[in-house]
Amino acid sequence: MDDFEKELKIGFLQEAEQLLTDTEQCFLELETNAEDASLLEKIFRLAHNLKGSSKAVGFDSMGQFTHEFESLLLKIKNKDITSTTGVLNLLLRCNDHLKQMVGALTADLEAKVDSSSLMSEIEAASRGELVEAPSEPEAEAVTEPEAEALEEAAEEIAHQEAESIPSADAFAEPPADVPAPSSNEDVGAMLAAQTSLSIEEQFLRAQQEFESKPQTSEPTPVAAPEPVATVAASTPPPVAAAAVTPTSDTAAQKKSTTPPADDSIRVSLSRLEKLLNYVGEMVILQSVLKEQSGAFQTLTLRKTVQQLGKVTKEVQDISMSLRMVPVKQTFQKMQRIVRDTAQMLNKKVNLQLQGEETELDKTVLEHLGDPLVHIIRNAVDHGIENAELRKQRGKPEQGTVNLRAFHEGGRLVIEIKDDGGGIPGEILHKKAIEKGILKPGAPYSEKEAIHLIFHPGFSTKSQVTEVSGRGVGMDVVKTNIERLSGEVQIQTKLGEGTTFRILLPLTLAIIDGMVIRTGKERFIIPLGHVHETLQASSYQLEYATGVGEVLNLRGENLVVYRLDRMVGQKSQVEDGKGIAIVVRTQERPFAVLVDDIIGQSQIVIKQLGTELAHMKGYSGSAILGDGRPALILEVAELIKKYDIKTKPEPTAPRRTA
Amino acid sequence: MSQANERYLGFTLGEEEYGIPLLKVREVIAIPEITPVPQAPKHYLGIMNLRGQVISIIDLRQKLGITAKTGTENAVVICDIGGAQLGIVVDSVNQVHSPAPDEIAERPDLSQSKSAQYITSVYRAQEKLVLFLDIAKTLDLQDQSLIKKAA
Repeated sequence: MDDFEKELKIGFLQEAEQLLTDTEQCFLELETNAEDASLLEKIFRLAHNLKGSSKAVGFDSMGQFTHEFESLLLKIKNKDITSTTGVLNLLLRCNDHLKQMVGALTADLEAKVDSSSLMSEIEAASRGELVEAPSEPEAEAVTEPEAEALEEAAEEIAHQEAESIPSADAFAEPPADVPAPSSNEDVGAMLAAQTSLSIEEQFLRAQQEFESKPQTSEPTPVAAPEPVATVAASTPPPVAAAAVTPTSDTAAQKKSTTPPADDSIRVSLSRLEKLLNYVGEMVILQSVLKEQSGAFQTLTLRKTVQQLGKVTKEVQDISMSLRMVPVKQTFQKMQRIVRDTAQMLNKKVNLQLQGEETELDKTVLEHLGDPLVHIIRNAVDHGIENAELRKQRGKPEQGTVNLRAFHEGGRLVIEIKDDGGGIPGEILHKKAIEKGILKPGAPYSEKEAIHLIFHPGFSTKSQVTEVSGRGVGMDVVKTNIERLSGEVQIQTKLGEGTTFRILLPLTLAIIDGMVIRTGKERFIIPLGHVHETLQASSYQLEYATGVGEVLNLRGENLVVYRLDRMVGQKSQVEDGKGIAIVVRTQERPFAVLVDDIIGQSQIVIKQLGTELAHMKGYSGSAILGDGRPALILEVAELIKKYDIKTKPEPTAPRRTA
Repeated sequence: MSQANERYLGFTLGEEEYGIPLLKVREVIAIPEITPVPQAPKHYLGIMNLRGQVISIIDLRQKLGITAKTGTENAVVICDIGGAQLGIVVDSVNQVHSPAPDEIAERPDLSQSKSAQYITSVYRAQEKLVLFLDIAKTLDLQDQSLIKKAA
């Protein structure tokens, strides 16, 4: 295989993956909206594209399979068979199979995937012999007599064929890549070369070829052993004339589906990453320059530095936006999850998507997939009640899960909302005591109880099912989201539903940070974590036994943590004269006492090496204006560590006093 | 000669001579400004800025339990470990050794010291014993368990 061919194939596989995701989406839509002819058109076109290109680049087995797939689709499109759930399931399985194929081929261009069993199933389905219970029996009834009639006609033709054609082989190999004939003339031209047949036979064949080519799974008489299958589903002869119209239609559409030339190029992520690294470095250098230039302020220098600052900002913004991709693809995958989970549990659930065009950093998005799957599965499994209970509660039989993405205050919010039963905090609390996670009798709030679902190994399900109950899921969700420096919030109301909100930074590469000082060291606190800052001297710090120092802010008592002690520094300001930074996490608000705030700036995050990966409390580091690195603090994590170290009972729920 | 001898960068830790494969060494720099990382293990000195990259600095002497010589010039050897860079503080950098294969001996089995397990082989150079270190083993695996304990 030469390089060019290889490149072609690889290009095709990338394209195929995208196409298959699109088709899957269409199938799922089709399920809810079976009448939508334009959807079928779209699927058909996608499948057709796939067939064409797979053959063109030399993946013959895939071409064959897609061909069968396409034929089945065509029959559904022409309403020869109805799209029951059974058929749709088959189609989805075909789609999965194609994905597998693409996967296998991506790994090894010579890979062979056996698709014979699915192919025979498709064949069966095209004959209308799908055994799975049809959900629309009336529709089935209509097609049956028709099919019978067709079968009869087919047998007749097959009979004639077998008698009158000695050299079936001669015809058996029509060029596979010849486009479907769009008019009778074409068919004639195609056949003109085959002089060994009589004119009558030619006509018969032409007609047959014409009918079967675009519409059935077996375009050629190769299928001689199974002639019934070949013709049974094709349009009966009287309708042949009418069939011309759709054929030419598809041909016309084929042309129009070639996407308009897009002014975009594909760039490998590693190159992009390199660029971003350098841009990051440039930002640092620029800020160093700005700081240094303060010493000798000539007008030109000042102007140039200012100008450079502006340009750098622009370059940074643009290069950051290069990594942004819409959440659409990730969201669409959820359709399938909801569908499959709901079907497995015998529930009716509808997933609504909103804000699919919202863009998010690609790396963030990649890590978002798993948590989303967990939350959505949970919503369908634990959240949405079964149909009976829903009826009792006066809700529509079909549950709804709403998946929405939107921007809010410089962060991206992904909201998963279900109209299910809500999270019963009391039951969670009981379970937690049973499992020894909480001590009986310890005070707790509803909020804390609900957060128990994030506890590793915690599950209210008594039995582990295929869908959920192992108690791993939500723990993983939390850790994954926190690794992305995001946050998970839950709002739930018994009987009315639950809303999960995932708050994410727009990008992982650059954040707005507050540079603070404690003792001799400087640290960075992500600005997103800072709720407000206070001059500590104007507040009275009180000491409460078992809680520590408490600061009263507008009637609210905040536990105060001294950063200098937590990081082994010695505060250089008079006691109580520092600055209190108020941090509000979902769990509770608290204040961190620091010596001073040095400033705010855009911080290019540098990951810490693997040697520090296990240290909690630091989310990374950054290089400050003077060229020295500083640690980025994950304050909420840091105080947890501090709590455990200093408090005798780490498992007891902390009180906010 | 079809194959050149593998070369090692020799350096001193306390009174002892050590060596690491030269191919793993990126550069040698003077001790930079180091930002300490609170609550990190003792041998973890902190992070530094190496031309825009944040790099961890490790004190091998602490790690191997060697008392540092006082009053000697220190240096930082920047190594490449599994794609990541890491700085190692040493007492001094001496020379590049290029021992022939038969001059390298297996590590003596007797040694009970903590550092013995990190030594891949030894080389006797002009009456002085040079211990060759497996840098990745010394820093990576061990540290992670330590850090886990510390956390």
